[in-house]
Amino acid sequence: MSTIIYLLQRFGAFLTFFVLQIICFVFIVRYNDQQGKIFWSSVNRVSGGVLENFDQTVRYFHLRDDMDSLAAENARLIELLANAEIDTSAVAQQITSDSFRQVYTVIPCKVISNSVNRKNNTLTLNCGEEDGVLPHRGVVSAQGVVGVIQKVSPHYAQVMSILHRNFKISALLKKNGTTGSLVWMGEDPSIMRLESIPRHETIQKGDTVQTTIFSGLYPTGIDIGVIESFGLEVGNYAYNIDVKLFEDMTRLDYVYVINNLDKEELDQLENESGNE
Amino acid sequence: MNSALFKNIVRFITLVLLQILVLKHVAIGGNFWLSIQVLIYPLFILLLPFRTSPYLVLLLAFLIGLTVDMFYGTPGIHASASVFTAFLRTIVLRFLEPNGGYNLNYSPTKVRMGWGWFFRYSLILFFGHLLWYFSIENFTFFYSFTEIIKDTFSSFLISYGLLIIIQIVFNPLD
Repeated sequence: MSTIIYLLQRFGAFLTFFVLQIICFVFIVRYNDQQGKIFWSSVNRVSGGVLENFDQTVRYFHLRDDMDSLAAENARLIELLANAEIDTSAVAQQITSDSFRQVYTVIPCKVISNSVNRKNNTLTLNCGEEDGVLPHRGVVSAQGVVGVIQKVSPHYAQVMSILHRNFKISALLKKNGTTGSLVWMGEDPSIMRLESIPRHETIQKGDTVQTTIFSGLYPTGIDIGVIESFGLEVGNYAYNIDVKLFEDMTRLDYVYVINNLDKEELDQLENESGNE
Repeated sequence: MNSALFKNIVRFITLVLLQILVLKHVAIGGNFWLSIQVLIYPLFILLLPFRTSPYLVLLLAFLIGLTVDMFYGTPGIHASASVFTAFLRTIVLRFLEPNGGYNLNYSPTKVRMGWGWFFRYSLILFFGHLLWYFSIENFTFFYSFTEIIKDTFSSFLISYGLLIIIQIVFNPLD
């Protein structure tokens, strides 16, 4: 108690000064525009900086959920895009929602195993039969084509990567719509070979290569890569075209399985006509 | 005691009236390079009797500052400067204490203490008051340091001149 009194006696004047200045400060900042603005902008800068740093740290813990919701959103959008191309209305005047049939569904999956350095590469996905994944369905990522579902189990699926000797889909050149077959040569994981483009077609370097629906695996128009170089050997019927893939196959994370609802119908039709 | 109290009350009222009625309109502020405020009311704080306790000085300074603020429309700025001056006064008086100590019945006027002492006393306090005032008015130290110095000096010359004139004319004893 006596020390408090002693302190008050010694510093009383300063304390009173301090208290009065605080009161004045409150008045100044509250009732004067210019001072108030300057004060609050400085305060906001400090508090904003602190809160932002805190938020950055906390945000790290939400990353997984954020990615999952983004993948789901992407699947939904890809689905919309894929289905938008299908217009089955025979009568031009009728534009109802029935004329846009839901042909594709898109399932987002996460890649849990991948390889790029073997001659025949495969991926494993963490969704399976229970998520609606069936064999012989196309797999794409946000950047481009990834592969085809080979086998499924209840919870997992095995994918034949495009970097696989047996992988062969039909692809087209965006500029003039010419179709060819896309295969992998087995060496560079970022380059694939587009075959069967006849020599009378004009080819341009930098042209985009996209999917067609002919394989029944992917909707039309999914990007695969760009023409990096092409050559024509004497006596050959077709070009040798090197396509540089958009997707970096070494960094696959979230992919989307394209489920073509008509696929069974198409397969059945082809089998029947093949058997005749 | 009574006459001292009476004198100080009269001084309070006169200086405040002078400040708000006359000097408020003298302020040159249109040209943004120079902002001159003529302040005369700190004279009240300067001339308070020696024996007023530091707390009372602070309180009175707060009051006169707030009163001027009310008429200037700047709540708190003059009050803050006045409180600072009051605080400074206690320290400065201790510094300038003559060898025999102060005669507590007197006030720090030029008649009682002589021109030399008075100049030192009023110069420090008045300059401090104006410096604090312009610092608060700009409220940013990083961009307007030169601004503060400039305003303080220009206002100081005029205000201090007025102060001296009043001292000569009225020649207050206490």
